[in-house]
Amino acid sequence: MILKELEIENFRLFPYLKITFSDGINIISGLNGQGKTSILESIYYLALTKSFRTSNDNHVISYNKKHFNIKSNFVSGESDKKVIRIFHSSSEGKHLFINKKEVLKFSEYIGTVPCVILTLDDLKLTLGGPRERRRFLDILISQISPVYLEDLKIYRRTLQQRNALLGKENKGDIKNQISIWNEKLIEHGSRIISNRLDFIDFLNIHLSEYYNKISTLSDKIGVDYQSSLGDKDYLSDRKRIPVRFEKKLNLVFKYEVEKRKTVIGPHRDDVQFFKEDKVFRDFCSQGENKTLVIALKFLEWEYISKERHIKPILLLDDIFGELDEVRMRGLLDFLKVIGQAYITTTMQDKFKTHHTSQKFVLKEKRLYDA
Amino acid sequence: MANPFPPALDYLVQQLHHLPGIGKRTAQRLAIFLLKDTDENAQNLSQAILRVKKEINLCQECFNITETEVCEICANLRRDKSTICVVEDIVDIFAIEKSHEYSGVYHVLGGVISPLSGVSPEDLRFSELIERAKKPEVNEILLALNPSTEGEATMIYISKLFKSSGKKVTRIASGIPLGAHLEFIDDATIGRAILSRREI
Ligand SMILES: Nc1ncnc2c1ncn2[C@@H]1O[C@H](COP(=O)(O)OP(=O)(O)O)[C@@H](O)[C@H]1O
Ligand SMILES: [Mg+2]
Ligand SMILES: [Zn+2]
Repeated sequence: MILKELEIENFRLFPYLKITFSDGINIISGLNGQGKTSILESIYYLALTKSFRTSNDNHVISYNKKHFNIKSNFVSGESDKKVIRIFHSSSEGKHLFINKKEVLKFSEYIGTVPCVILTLDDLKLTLGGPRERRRFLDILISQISPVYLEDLKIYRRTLQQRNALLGKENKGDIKNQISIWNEKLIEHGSRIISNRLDFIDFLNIHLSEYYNKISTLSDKIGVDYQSSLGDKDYLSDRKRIPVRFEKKLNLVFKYEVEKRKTVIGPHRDDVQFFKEDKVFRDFCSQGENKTLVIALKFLEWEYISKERHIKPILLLDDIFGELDEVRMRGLLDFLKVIGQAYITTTMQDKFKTHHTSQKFVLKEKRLYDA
Repeated sequence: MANPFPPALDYLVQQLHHLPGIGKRTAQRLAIFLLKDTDENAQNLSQAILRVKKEINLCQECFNITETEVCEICANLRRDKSTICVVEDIVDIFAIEKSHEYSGVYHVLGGVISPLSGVSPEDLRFSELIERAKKPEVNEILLALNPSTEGEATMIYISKLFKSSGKKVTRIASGIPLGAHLEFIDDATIGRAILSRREI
């Protein structure tokens, strides 16, 4: 997917901005606070209908304004053109339009403009809590499969209902009532796990190669999906997940009644990385962690483009200050084969010799060709 | 902040706010509209409300609304009493009737199971449904609940209730978009969904 033209209105610090981008690498430089991240944020909105910095859409509307608008022209392949618009106001909410037609369901929208983002925040992906890693998997797979997004939505709703039931003072015939929510939990939860495992398998095949390309070393990197359903053997046969899920739910039933919440399922799962046979997070250096995160993001890009046959847009927000020469070269090498990419930086000089890119400078809410 | 509404008006706002789909702001706008409206219109509205409460009852059989003891559908001899279509709410009967594809009778559950909103099976008309279905002429329970997470769970609950009853339990096919409400779906879609129901 190639973003040709972007027009934003009342978005963060920009009252109005219109930009025509290059099909390849776009480098946006400028001092801190000039609005570089905001531009990437508006592109991310087009992909995922939300921000990566806030969960409140109203925060993105320019101060003292009532709405924001993001308009864009995309092309994909020879002839497929799309005009996409996102409108949000605090009173009327968010509205999505593809070619002037409103799209009413997120699951019908997500995936239209696949996108992969890398920010400094993502360094938490490997070192932070399991929630970050589940989020990574969920955003990635949602861009591939609308069914996955529906599954997630229904799973979360079922989980809320099930927890409400487990939390009730007077439990009545809870055993009978819990079983109806179990059916839904198992149906949607098993599909979620199965889809995640597909990506984990893909990672295991390619992660060492990508990691070593960036670090120029030769380490063996592995990944493991750590499921709250226990036992590894069921993972290889996806058809056995629902059976295993049901068995395990019965096993923990008493404990759940005591704890008043659902204690197993994809909402409790995690991903663990290994270098050789050691747990990565326990031993890695900061530099190694950066390498791993970059490798993961590249593989996210590769996976989406393999599954969807569309090259995702790559957004790199201000990460070059944090990289040494070796990793920077690894990154730039990768960018040669990627579709469209957007890079923000405070250090214009770092890219002086990078001739194949389109360079912009952001100053006083205006964009200049550098 | 001081409440700018005098007590009488505030009371009306609260009563309106209690209605489904009416937020606080809308309730205030409606209350002020009624305040400015003519006395006659206000009389008519309050009498209309009292009249439906007095004259309209729930059908003893299916809990549809009726002015008599048994509703028109249940009283109609041409309706096929062997099939009971289970719906969430009275408005769903209207939606299905408009499709002209269904000739059986109905059963209004009065909602769906939702622990989050405090709705347990005891709060819904399951025992009445079981009683009705005991009649030998009944051989099919057709589930037409909205395909929300709660609607789906309630359908699972009902199919478990009838598991060893020897009655056929079917559900309308999901030509209906996930999460869409029956009352907003066009007649043709509902009609097709009823024709292509499947056993569960
Ligand atoms: N809703 C908003 N309305 C107006 N200005 C905003 C809004 N949100 C953030 N800003 C301003 O935008 C600037 C930050 O923009 P950002 O895109 O993060 O810049 P950069 O990435 O270039 O450092 C800050 O000066 C901030 O005050
Ligand atoms: Mg920034
Ligand atoms: Zn009736």
